[in-house]
Amino acid sequence: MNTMKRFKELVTGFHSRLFLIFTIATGIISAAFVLVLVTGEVQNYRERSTEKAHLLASLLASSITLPLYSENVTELNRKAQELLDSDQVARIVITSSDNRQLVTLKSAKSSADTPLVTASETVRAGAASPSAESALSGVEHSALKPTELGSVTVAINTGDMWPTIRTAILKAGGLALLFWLSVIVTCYPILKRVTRSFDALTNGLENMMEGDFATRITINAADEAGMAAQAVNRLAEALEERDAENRNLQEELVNTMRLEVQEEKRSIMAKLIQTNRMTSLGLLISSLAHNINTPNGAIKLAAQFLTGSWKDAMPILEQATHEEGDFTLGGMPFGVAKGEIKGASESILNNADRVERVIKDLRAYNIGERNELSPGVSINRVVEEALTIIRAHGRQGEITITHGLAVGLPGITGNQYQLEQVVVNLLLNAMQAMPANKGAVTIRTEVSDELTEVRVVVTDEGDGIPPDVMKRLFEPFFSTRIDRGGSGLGLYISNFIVSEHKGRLIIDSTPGSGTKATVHLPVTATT
Amino acid sequence: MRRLVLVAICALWLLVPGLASGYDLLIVQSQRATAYDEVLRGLRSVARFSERVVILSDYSESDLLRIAREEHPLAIVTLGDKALEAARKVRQTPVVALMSLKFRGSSSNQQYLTGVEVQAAPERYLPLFSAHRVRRIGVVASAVNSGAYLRHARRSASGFGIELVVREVHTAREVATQLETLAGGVDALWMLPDPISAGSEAADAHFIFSAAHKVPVITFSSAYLTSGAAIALDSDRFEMGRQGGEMVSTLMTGAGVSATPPVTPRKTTTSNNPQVLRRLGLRPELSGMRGGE
Repeated sequence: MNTMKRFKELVTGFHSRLFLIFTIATGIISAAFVLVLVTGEVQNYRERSTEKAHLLASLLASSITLPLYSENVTELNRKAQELLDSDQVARIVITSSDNRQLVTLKSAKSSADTPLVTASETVRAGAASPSAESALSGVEHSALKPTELGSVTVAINTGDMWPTIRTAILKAGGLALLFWLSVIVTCYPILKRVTRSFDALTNGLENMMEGDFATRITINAADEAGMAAQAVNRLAEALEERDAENRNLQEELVNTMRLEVQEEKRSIMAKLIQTNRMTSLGLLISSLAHNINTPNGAIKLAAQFLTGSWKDAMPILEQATHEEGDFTLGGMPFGVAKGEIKGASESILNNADRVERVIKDLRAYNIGERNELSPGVSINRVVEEALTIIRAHGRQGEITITHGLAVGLPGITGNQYQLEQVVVNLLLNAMQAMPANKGAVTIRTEVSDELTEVRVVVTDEGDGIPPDVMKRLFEPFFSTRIDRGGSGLGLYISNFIVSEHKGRLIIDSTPGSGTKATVHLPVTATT
Repeated sequence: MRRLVLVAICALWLLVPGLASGYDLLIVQSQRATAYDEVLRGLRSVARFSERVVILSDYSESDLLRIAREEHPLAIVTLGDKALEAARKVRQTPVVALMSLKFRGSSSNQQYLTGVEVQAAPERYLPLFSAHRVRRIGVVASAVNSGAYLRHARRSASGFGIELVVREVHTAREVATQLETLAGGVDALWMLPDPISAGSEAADAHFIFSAAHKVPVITFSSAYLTSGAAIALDSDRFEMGRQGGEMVSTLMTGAGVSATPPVTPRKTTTSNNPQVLRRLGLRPELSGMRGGE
């Protein structure tokens, strides 16, 4: 497997491919040259044979002028035989001017299927000597038209062409092979040396591909590969820096996310705790309600008894006063005490009723009773009850709560307890917004001019709400006081409740100038 | 108008006689050749006649007979065989043949024909043979063209102790074969200005034989020296022309052709090829004899 891999790497490597391409190209070129050479050789051989045939024919033609002229067949035969004895001459035919074959000789060395190259020459009476008339008149005998005496045809045997060509091929092929091998052997080290800079480049790039940007490529030469290596080094440097930056960023991100997650976790836990506390509170309230209701009931009964008893005793005491004069009762004169005692028993009854109501409201609030909407709900009453709860909360500190309730407010269709919850939330928010637990909170009710809308307006003199917080006021679990027990649900639930009542909850705040929360509720009935 | 007619009549009167008067001598050349010009210079050096020169090679065909009939030259001089053949048809005008191979004075049977033979007399050649101690001379020639000359030569040769070995041919093709029959039997070859035996191939055959058998060739023109002839006896063309001019002058006097019988060249020049002579073992200085009148 390793061997296969190495072989594959070797074959697909840059060096190998370059060397292979070069080797193949050189081989092909060498082969092409051999082919051209051999083709040329074949062509040359044929031309040489043809030329030889022509030459021999010319030679014979020039030597047989006289014998042919005189049709001396013996002489013609002799001359032809002389030529036939030469190498390669296969056949000689001498023909007279009237196409009679005077001499036909064939060489015993050639066979019928031996390829031949034939050449013919006309034998002309172009004698070296002038004619008698030319000799006398001085006119060039060559100006006279030479007479055709006949023709000579010489056929050359080309049977040795293929052996000659084979030899040529072997020689040429051998030389070409030698050349090719020499080129390969000498070029390989040269190639290696020349592409050394590419080696460094490719090795460097390989390392970088594996993520090692610290690698720097050695620059062996100021060639293209060297320049590329330089560029790659710069790139690697930049990548390394980016990598480091990325790592740092990643770390920061992770840390930030960790912190956020922790924050979130804390927030969720706080919310869970708050919810749990709310649940526990609910249980506490249930328990408290039960534990308070019982003695409260006893107090009410006692108060009722005392009231009844005082009522019964009053005529007697009045008669006594009438008869015996004023007396001290409870450390004060009877005339004063009777009013006080009546007031006290009424107060006991009222407060017991109040306690009963508070407990009832708390229970109703806790178990989510009375979700249904009822007509004729008085907003003033809602505000009063909310104020009662706030006062019972006992955490006003030095905050003064001023209320101004409009008279003759029309009733609305709604859930008193839920609306009380809204007002309580708004009041609590206003109180919590007051710095150092000091200041004034105002709550008032009003009605629109058309009597179509009832409004509850809670204002405070707090620090106001920053714009970035304003945007998130009605988000669930969003609180600026999550670490102080804020659930982040107050305004969310209040807004939900108001929306259920087809109303609107508008918060107006300017940082440094306090906050005004206005609950708009539509009127559905008039009281 | 009258004046115009008068001028036309005068012109005609002047020209027509000019046209009608003709010329005395019609010179007919087979072709243009410097040799012919040399002959004509010799001819004109004797006497100047009004002449017309017709060069047969300039025409595709020419009718000498008509020219002679219409123009009435007093005599016709022919230069070359073709001119001679054309002039043979003319019977009424004397013809002087010059530079014609086919003109053999002895064999001329035409009343109106005379001239100068191209071949020097045998007596010019025989001393040359004798000087080189050549005893047997081979001759290949046609009886038609050279028969009479050979007869004359035979007669003269015996006086020099020279034997003529003659081979007769009828066509040029036979020359080479006949020459071969002379192998080993002759000491020299005598090439006569025979159109048959001295054609190009036939001439070559002589020189090939000469080279093969180491036999010198004595010929009638120095043009053959470069082809392998050993000795050449050229007839002087200017002198031939003078001879022709003398004949014409005689004829112009009104004398008949019989007053100017055919003659052989008066003057000859001997030349040789020393290399050939040396190769053949002959002495060039023996060939330096110049022929004269």
